[in-house]
Amino acid sequence: MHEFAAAGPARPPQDDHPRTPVFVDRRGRRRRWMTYWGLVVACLGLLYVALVTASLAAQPVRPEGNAPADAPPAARVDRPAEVDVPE
Amino acid sequence: MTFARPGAARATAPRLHWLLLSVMLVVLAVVLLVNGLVKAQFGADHRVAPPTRADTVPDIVRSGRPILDLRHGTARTYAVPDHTIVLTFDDGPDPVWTPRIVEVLERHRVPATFFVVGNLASQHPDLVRRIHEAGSELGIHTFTHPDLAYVPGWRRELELSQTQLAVAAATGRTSSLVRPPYSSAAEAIDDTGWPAIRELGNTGYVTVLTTHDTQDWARPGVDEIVRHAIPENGDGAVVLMHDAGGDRSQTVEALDRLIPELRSRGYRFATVGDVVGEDVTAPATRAERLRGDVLLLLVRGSTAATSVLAVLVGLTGALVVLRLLLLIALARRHARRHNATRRFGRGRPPVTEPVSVIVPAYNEAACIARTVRSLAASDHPVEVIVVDDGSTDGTAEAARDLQLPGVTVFRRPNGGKPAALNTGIAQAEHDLIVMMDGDTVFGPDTVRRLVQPFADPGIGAVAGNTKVANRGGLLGAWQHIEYVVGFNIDRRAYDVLQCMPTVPGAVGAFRRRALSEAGGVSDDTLAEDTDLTMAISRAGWRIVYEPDAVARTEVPTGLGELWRQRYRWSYGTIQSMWKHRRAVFEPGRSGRFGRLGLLHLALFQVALPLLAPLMDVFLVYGLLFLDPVRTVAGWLLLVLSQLAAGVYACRLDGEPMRGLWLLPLQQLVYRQLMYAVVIQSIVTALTGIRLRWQKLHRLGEAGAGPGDGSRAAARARARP
Repeated sequence: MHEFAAAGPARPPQDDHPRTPVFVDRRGRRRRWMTYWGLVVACLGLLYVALVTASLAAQPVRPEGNAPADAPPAARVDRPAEVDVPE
Repeated sequence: MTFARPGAARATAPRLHWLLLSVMLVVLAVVLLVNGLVKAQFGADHRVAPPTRADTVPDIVRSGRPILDLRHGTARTYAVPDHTIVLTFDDGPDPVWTPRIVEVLERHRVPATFFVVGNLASQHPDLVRRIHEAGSELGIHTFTHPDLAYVPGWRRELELSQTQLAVAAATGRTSSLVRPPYSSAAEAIDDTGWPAIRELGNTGYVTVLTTHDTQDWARPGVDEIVRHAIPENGDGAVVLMHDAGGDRSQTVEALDRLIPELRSRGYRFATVGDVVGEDVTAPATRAERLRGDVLLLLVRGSTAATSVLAVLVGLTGALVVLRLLLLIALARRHARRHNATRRFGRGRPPVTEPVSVIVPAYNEAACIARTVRSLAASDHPVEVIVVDDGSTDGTAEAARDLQLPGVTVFRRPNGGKPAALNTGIAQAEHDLIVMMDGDTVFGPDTVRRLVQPFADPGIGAVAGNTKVANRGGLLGAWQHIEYVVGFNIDRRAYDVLQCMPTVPGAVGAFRRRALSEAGGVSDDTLAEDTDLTMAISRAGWRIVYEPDAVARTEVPTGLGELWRQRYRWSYGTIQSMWKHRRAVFEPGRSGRFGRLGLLHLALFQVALPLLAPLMDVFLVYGLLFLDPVRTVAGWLLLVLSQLAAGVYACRLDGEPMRGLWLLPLQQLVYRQLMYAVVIQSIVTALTGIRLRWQKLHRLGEAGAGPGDGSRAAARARARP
């Protein structure tokens, strides 16, 4: 059986040979950047969900009851038929 | 190469991105829900249920007067005065027909009342504003057009309120007019419908019904519509027409004729407000306008996002199907060419020169004997070089104890698979070098068949056909199908297109010159086989696929192990693509590989898996909100095209088809696992996180526990 003392360089280094494995960012700057923007996007998404929820949960909008009950209708139309409504 | 501060750069991010992704999926679900509600299709305004008894309805309500004011605990009903017409339009606004109807009304200087549906109004606030500015009146026709008799109180309030907000945002006013969907004349109010109408009054609405229904939704012809709209004896009338819900050209034409016709009969035109004698709209409060603006924003956001996503999903589906069909066609061409070679030979003398087989092994004591014996039984002259990469389980001893002639065992301190392969290459005597895995078994003819393509001096590497040895269990069966398709469709196609991305580590043959021109096996990436294959392509060598050179390999049996294996492949492939990205702009064979192979990988192995979760979400969305039949049909088309590829691959490979029924089931667990792997890899690549494997790779394997990623690192590099 043959024994080798130590692992030599895998191959002669080339000019474009990266110092660290492809994609590895040793300073972690890309990770921080990604985390930041990921959180921003997620917050925007959550804001959307919150607004939808708020829009649905808020007090319903009703038309103003602007006509007093006993106000006579305009003169030019016939007086409308009227009766109490049983609840 | 040093790896400073191990463990510092991983930590939270991998978990965080799954959290973010789940959040975004929830957001997507909400966006789709909003879009679904807004885009929901509804039926035309004809009664959905037959009328029932009307014992509880006050007679005065059923007397036929079309305008019901039940706001103050009393029922006031208004009739339209004689020689007066109230034109009403339901179900709009519609981007095509509403402007044309408003234009006709403006031309004749006639007002009308438009009962708008909230989901359309919120998508087209400009149309609502146009109606308002043309002097017509706006009323509420609910948000999604349900029959109010059958919806609970909270929903009725929501339907009215959200529509009110859309109108408020568009015009700055709210309206007290409502027309319940599916309503008709006052006489038709029955016990079922009455409670809802009474509640409309209690919430402050004047209900506007109809006296003359033109039935224009049925497109009965212009004459019919006009005829239906003209009252007898100069009676007043509320005329019902529609400005949406299909082709309304008849309505537009009828309106243009109706107005002069009625005028000639002495009619004047009024709005509901004119008849009631009060202003039925009121300025919206600041809060209402703000809420309305938010509603419009939410709707616009959801419709825009959904249409972009829908295009992407459609494109993805089409691309997947087209790719499969194209690959099948290419595989067919390869199979024909290959059959011709089989029958008539290559036109060159067969390759008989001896071959060096390199078996890198890390803790493969259990399998190594079988592997080496299978090589020793080869019908081609071989020299077997086992490189034990610092195993701790006696792999080297197990290989040596076989005492087989022509087998040399080297042992080196652990340095990772690329280093072990380079050691083997350095020790190999011959110029043709076969690389395989420690847990892979060759047939007697595998080496011979694998090296035959080298009769062509332009060929630098040959990929063999890997088969799954352990097909038991669902995971094994799924991987088996995946391998059969991957090797018999994809790889044949890559061969024909001359853009082979990977010669699998489990069974591949190389020319020594090609290896040295590629700079040996690099440990820059986690997929050294892909990296090496790309480097050989870039050095200008042709790489082919030899389906008859079969190797059997063990695949992961557990989900965790499978996940780690695929994670390495996927991440390593992306690393290799990035490393060799310049190939896209290079001339010659390298450029061909770059433009075809790299772009294909980028599209189908990176971009498409990112969109794959969308496909699943849209499947559910389509079933709920779109046409379920068409949704299922689209999905079936996808599954069927995959099945077709599976059937053809099995036929080419002489594999039984009975396992294929599992293919549709792959859609449920396996596919999600596969795209999750790619998402994880892309996130890892983008964030620049260092993988544990990369660290262990350098610091030595001793600390790695059983079943750790390092185990997967050393095994099955078969890659379908």
